[in-house]
Amino acid sequence: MIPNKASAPYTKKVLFPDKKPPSKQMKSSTLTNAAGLSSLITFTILLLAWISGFASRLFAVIRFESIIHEFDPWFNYRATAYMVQHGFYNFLNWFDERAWYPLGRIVGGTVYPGLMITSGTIHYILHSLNIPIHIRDICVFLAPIFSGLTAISTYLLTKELWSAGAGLFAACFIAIVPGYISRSVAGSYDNEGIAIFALQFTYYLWVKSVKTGSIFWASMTALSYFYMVSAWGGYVFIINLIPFHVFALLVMNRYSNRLFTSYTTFYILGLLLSMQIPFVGFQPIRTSEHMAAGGVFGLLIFVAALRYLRTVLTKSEMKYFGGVVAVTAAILLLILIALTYTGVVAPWSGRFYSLWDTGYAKIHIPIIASVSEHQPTTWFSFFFDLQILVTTFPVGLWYCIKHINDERVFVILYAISAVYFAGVMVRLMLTLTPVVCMLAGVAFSGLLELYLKEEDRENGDREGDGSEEESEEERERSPGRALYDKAGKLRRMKHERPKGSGDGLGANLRNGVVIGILMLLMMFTVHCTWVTSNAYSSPSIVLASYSNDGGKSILDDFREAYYWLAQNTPNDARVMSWWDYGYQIAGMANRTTLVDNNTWNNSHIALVGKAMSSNESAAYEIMTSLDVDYVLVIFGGMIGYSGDDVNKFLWMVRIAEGEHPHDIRESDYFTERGEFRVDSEGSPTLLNSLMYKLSYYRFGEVKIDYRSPSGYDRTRNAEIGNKNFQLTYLEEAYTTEHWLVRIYRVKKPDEFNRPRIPISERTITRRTNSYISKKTARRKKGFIKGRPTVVKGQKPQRRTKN
Amino acid sequence: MACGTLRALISLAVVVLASRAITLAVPNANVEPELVLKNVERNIDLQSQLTKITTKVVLENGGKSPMRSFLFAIDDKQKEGLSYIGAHTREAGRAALKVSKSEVKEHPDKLFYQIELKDSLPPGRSVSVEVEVVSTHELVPHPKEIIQKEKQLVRYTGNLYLYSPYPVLKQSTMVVFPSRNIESYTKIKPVSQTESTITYGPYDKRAPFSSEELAVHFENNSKFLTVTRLERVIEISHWGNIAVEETINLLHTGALLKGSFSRYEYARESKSGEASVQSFDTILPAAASDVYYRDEIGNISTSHARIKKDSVELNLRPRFPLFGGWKTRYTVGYNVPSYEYLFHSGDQYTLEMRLLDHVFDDMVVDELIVKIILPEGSRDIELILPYAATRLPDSLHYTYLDTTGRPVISVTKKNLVENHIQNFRLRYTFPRLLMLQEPLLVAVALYLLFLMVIVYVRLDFSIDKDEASESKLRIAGQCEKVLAAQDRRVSSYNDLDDQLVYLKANKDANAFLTAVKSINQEYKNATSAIAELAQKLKTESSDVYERVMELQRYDRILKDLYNQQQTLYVDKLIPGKVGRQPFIEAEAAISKKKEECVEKINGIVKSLQ
Amino acid sequence: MSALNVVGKFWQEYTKSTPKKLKIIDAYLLYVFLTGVIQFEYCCLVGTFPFNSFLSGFISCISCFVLGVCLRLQVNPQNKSQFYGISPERGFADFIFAHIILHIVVMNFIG
Repeated sequence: MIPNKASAPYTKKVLFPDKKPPSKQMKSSTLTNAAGLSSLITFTILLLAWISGFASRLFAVIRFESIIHEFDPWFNYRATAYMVQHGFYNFLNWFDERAWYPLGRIVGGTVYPGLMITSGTIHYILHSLNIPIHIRDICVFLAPIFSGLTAISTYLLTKELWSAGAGLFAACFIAIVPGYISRSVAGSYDNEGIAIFALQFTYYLWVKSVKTGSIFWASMTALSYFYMVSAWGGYVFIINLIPFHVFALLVMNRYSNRLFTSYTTFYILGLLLSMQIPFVGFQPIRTSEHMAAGGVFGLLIFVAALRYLRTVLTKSEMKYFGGVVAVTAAILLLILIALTYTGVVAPWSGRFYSLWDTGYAKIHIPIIASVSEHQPTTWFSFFFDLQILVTTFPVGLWYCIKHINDERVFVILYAISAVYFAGVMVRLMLTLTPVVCMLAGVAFSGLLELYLKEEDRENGDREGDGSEEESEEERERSPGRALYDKAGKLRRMKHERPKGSGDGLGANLRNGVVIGILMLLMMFTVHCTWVTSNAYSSPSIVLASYSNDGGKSILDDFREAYYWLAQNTPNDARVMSWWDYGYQIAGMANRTTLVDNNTWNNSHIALVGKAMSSNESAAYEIMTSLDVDYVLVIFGGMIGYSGDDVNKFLWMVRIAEGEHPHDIRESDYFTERGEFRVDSEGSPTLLNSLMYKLSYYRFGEVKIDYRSPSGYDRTRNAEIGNKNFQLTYLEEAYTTEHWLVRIYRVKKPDEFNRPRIPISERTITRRTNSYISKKTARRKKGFIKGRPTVVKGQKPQRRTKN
Repeated sequence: MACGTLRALISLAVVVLASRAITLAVPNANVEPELVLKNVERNIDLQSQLTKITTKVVLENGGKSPMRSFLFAIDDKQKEGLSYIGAHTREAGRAALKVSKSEVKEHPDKLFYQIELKDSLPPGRSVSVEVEVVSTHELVPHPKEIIQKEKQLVRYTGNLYLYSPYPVLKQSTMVVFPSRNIESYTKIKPVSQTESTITYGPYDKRAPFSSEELAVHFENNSKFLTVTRLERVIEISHWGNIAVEETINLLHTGALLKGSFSRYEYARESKSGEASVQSFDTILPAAASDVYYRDEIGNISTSHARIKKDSVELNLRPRFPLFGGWKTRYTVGYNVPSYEYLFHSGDQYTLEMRLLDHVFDDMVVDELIVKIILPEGSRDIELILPYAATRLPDSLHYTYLDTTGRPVISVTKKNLVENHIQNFRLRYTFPRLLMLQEPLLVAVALYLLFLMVIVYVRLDFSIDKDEASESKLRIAGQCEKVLAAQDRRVSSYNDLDDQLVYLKANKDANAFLTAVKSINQEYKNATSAIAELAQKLKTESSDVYERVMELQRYDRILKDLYNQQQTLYVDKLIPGKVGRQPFIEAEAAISKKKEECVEKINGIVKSLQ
Repeated sequence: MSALNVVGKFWQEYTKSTPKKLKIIDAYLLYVFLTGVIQFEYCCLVGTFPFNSFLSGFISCISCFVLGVCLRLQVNPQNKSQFYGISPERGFADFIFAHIILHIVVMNFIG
């Protein structure tokens, strides 16, 4: 806007002194400063959204400490620490021999490195400025910081789609909505934390490039897409949604040259960039998930060529080309199908199938189905994660459909596909959340625009010709005001709006509606805070229990066990546990694991599952073949922790059965009535399985209180069925204070193979043995030492070491 | 003032240490043949993991000349574990005596300490002195491995007699145990056992360097904990804070745990795991605040602090109980205010702190590393240690807002016990102006940041001329000019209005006409300016041109209306050619049209903005 | 026969109504297109052994082509109304920008 134009209206006041000029002057002066004022308000609101989003993610840090949460973040943290320590190139070439023993894992080629590079870069910059922040703290706070960036990119995207006011609403929603907080609390150092930002930013740039048709914005989209590819496997969503958008526009006959420039530039650069990530490799041209994008690329070029020809040739002449197009399209499709069949192009991967058929994973890939976040979403969790937004977002969707244009087609497709995917998998709730925030922002903005504008007109008693910029301004400011209050509401629950000097029924109604909306928003913030505080702010490696008087006690058993492993086992000890704990063992205890949360090798996991579900001697064979030194199990029966290994046991059995159907049968672990019980009625196979024995070793002697019998399992509320048993092949090495983690040492063959002889006798035999050998050995030095002592001489020698 | 007391403190602490690290020239000494030890009482304290031997000697000078010092020899067996040796008189003051390592020519293989007496001992007189020797790792667990339920038995072997270069006339040895459970002990008569002590002797005269093995085997369940490595970092900030951080590697050096560990037994049976260590107390300075206790994987939540009058007692529980052979590692850190430890006069600073602090009672520290981080820009550093230790090369440390780095003084020493908790002094020069450096740095950085933003906003970085926006800007500029001209026109209308009102009131047609002339001149100028601008705009944007032309059209109409009004006034009202009622009607009609016209003009003006 | 007619008419129209600037771009496009075809044929005949090298060469051809087409669209005065705010100079700068990204990536990828 032009800054100094105040003079014109000013003189007009003198011109018509009798025509209520003050209102005019006021309006013009606000208009004059509008640019500055609105950008100030925008800036303030975004800053507040960032701060409140950041603050509400800190519950875990304040309640517990600055610590990495859950499972996967531990691997990311470990990888980041490795990168910071050894440098980027060593990280890319890192072969981790501490995971998947004895196979190892090529980490550099099997991770999305975006997360590590991001925090590594931050660490590097800070350290070159002599700010010695520990990499752990950077990792812990990365997700909350990126949530602020997500809010900003959501604002930008919504602004492009609808208006700045709606953008501010959306930014504030995304900053505090639980669906996103669930993946980005402080300490949840996971790919999703930065990927949602990358996703939103890519979409923003895409919409921007569709609007302008600029190569520059399209290249930026490709770069942002590259960041997304480097950060999260969910990039597949982008590379399918954007072509889908283009396709929809083509079908709607909304082709434009802008669309051509933006999509072709984005696709070809994005394709090339995405192949730079080692983990992605040649997938973009080899797998079916990426094929749609290529198809749309070809289609778009065809359409563009036809359009060009049409400008030059007449309609009748075009007929010749019509046939050519149809034939070529058919041939291309056939080639694609043929390639898929011959295996050059990989068919859809299993995880992808499970998106179409929710029952697929359960039957074919139990390992995917065993993860709780891959379950279908319940209605409850929609409301739990999104609250009021889930009801208002269809309104926004309707607004978009009513005022359709190129970019709104995009948001409609985004919304519809995201709703579908979120319904299939709990985990994909995350992709739904941003679009819900955006559309809810549109809805609220539309509502408030309607109700606040009227009021203003009444106040100002203005002529009815509200010009375009005026309403724009209105939109921008009124929701802004409301949002400002909302952000403050986190602390200040009560809110009072300055009431206009409205009179009559209409004004009352409007005020009522406005107050109603504000009440809804207030409830939303309260709900968000509550959910964040109660559901999503637990580090899950530190458990808190509250006693009756409100005192908090911390159960730190996991770290107790991991630290014990780290300090008191040999550095190269191999620890067998169920795969859930693999990353934590590697991250905290720094010991070699057999399987971990990167579930790439199903048969290896099945082997561990088999060992856990077999009886002790069969398990011992598996364990010795895998060189296992220690076995770690999680046992919640003492304190009633439900997420323990016995409750996960059926999945181990199922996964083991998938690979070893002859040795393990799921039905063996149920009672005759098909129940899974650990008490005396449980199936004998279960009661003698390794997992059962390791969990309940010596638990039968424990009496928790006087009322319950000894060996009473609090998690499953049953008295255990197999109480007094001894372990032959393993011995208890460590059990944590609340029995949550139990570690067993696998005995060496010489420790149990022979009958027990008193110590004195053993040493005597050894001495005589070595005396004899030495006598004969005098002449042939060195040769005899290894030989005539045979096996018997070896074993006592080792014993002396122990 | 402070310095005086400090010096007194330092001179009190006269201790010399058996350290292989010492490379100083060791003074030579002779064994005075005339000196006899009239009476020796030894007390061997084996209650903890340490061996504390207190020897009370009565010296008698049998020679002719007064003596200033005497020698104290250390057993070959004891050499290894010897950690601390100190001596003091047995008079009321218990004044500490200076002890220094020395060599004796006749016995090059033996280790001697020369103890200087407070006053020289005249011939024939006697004096009594107490020597305290503390050794570590002398109690050997036997058996080496025990299962969880067993008690920990240890064996001590030492010398039954005082290992002395002088003849001893009479001596007795008392061994103190932690409990009554004594498996076996050397039985050289006379010997007696009462409760948890065994008394040997008194024995008659023994020759110099006589020795007889004393072996005892007994139960000792006290904390056999060794700090294998202690890294103590002291960071000084002149803003009033000293941060201390200790990283401690602990190892249970008692009998190793054999077989499995059973949590069930450990929790249920009080007798189980007696030799294990579940927690211990660390005493921190009274002023310590913000205490933290953590390790590589986070906070260790099992600790609590008790604030006492003269100290903060921190009860630390490692993550897991320590059994024999188990180890752990943790970090304890706290802040203390600098006024208690840092003294200065002008730019000269003196830091006085403990070189080693308390970790737990009867502790053994195998290796100590102390790092003192001074503020950036400290110079002329001088370190005074209470006992000999190895100074490591200085280094630099970078932290918040550092440019040249902070000097780091490092000191290391092996085999320390509680008796080594003593103060060191560090003098350095620090120009106080340098304290302003860091705030200034922040200010300058912020200033530069804002400057960059300002420059960025002002500069145009576009590579090519953006024609569209360029022409938009040009049009906007023209519009502005148009509007300014319009303003002038509006003000001329206003003047005209004023004049008309004036005319209506006093009916002075001549004055009115002269005034109107100048107003009209003004108006014409403005109108022609607008016309000119409109021509320019024609090439830029036809749309805007149209609007400006419209403006001109309405303006012409408005001007006509004014002219009508003027003629109405001048030609009809003044001469009275018209009646009141028609005049009012005519005027109302004109002003109504004027209003409409103005409305339209306003609309156009607004759109031009 | 009629197809030939159509092509002939197209050629006439093209030579008549296309500005010179666009013709230069078209020549460039043709060159890039032919390069891509040659690469593809080569790989069909010889094999795709260093697959990333082939890919980077081929994709860089496609991208050059596509970017050239984009530039042509933006520069074309007929399309001025569609690309509001993008002058030919701006379009060319964007073109260079995209090419810098492209070639950096290709150099990395070609191994």
